[in-house]
Amino acid sequence: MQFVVLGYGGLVPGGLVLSSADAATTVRDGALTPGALSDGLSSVAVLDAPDLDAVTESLRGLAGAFEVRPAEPR
Amino acid sequence: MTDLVDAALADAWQTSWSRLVGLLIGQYQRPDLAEDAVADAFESAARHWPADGVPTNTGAWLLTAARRRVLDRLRTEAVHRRKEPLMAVDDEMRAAAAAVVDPFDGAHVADEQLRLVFACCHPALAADDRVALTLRFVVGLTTAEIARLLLVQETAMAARLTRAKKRLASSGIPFAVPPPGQLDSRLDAVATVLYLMFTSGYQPGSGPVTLRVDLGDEAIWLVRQLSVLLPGRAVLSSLLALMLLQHSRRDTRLSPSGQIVLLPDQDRSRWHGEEIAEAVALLASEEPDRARRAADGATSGGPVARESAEGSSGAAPASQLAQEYRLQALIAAEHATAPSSADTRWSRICTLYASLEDLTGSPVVRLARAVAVAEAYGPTAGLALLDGLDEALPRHHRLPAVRAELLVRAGDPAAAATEYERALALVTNDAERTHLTTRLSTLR
Repeated sequence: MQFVVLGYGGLVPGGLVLSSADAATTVRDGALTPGALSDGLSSVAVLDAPDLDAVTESLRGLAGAFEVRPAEPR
Repeated sequence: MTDLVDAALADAWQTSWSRLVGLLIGQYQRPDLAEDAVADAFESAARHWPADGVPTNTGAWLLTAARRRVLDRLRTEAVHRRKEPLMAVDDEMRAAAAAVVDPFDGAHVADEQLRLVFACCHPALAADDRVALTLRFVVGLTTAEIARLLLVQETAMAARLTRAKKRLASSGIPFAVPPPGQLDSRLDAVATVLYLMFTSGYQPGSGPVTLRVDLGDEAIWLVRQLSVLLPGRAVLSSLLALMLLQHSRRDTRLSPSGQIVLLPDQDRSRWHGEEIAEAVALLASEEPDRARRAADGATSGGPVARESAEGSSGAAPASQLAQEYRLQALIAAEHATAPSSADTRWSRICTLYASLEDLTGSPVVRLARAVAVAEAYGPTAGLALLDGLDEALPRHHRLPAVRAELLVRAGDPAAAATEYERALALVTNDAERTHLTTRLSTLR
């Protein structure tokens, strides 16, 4: 299954490093505003893994906080 | 024929329900579907068995029916998603079903259960949810029974179970025993649910059935299996000792007419001595820990000989849970090894309960300590310890029941009668209700 991993202050292995929040643009209901929804978000990755344990194992020992969510097919 | 079918259904419900749910969850990773599918399979059995006859292997019949239900639901979901071709779902599920060994040959059932326990105790689940899920999926308790065991409202427990099942199904949590290096991180959670499973056998909730000795047997067996998997863990040896000591009295807890026989009135010659001996040996063989030094420090002797206060160097400190189980087991050992009720060393039991209350801060422990203090130092001392517990245990019938008993001993039958009435308003078990009613009738 696919998981989305969001790194807050930490770098997700194999993921993309995000530019600073200053460079972000927020789009809400079609309206654009400068800045980020979450200042702490620093990296993001989409991982293929058999289950949650496989994902958390790949994050073991890394500094920072990570949020892991399964990606649902639409 | 109807009686035969009813008996077969009842037997299958008791022996197969949790196994079926566990197998389906393990196979399809959909706990939200598994329960409904098993319920549907039993409903189907109730319709077909009277006409077709009870199958030789009821468990296998039910598993086949339940699998069919799950597949039906998965197909329906696929249609709704309009994403995957139906045949792909069918092929996938058929392949998975074919890969599963028939569990009802008796060889793999225990592993399935243990795997499910570990899955339900995954650290990605909230601690309260782990216990509730295990009691539901592994033990097969009803929502009401779980609520009563965990001292919460039934509606709150129903909401918790729904939320937990949804998370279990959607968050990618694997249904597998974790790798060896991670087993210990889940051990306390697993031990907790196994003890609750054991306890539920002696507090099975509403209705006339008051004991589920089979649940006690099963919990003990699972702890023994865990001890093989993880040898030398203090929490497991203390838990096993505690279970064995409590289980050793199973044949004397009820009279032939189904009424509760209190511990002082039980026939000690019918207690299972070999289980008591095994438990006492387990407690004696454990490595010394802080709980033992604290608990054993005030008194000497007892069923478990005291070792050097220094203990052995290098032993890992026992978890709080291990210390709790050890203290509870030491208390149970005092009861189990006393030659008679009159010879029980209540002052030592009071000391052990005080250590347990310091460790846990639990109002239920305070309640039990009050009983011990009343035995050792009189009812007034016991009653004093009950002050302030009503808020912490608002639905616990044993609080007014204990208070009533101590008020009787303190010579206040009118106040005792009021407390018995409060207890009767809260109790759900027929045997306990009969006991309380009998006690109340002696006051009038």
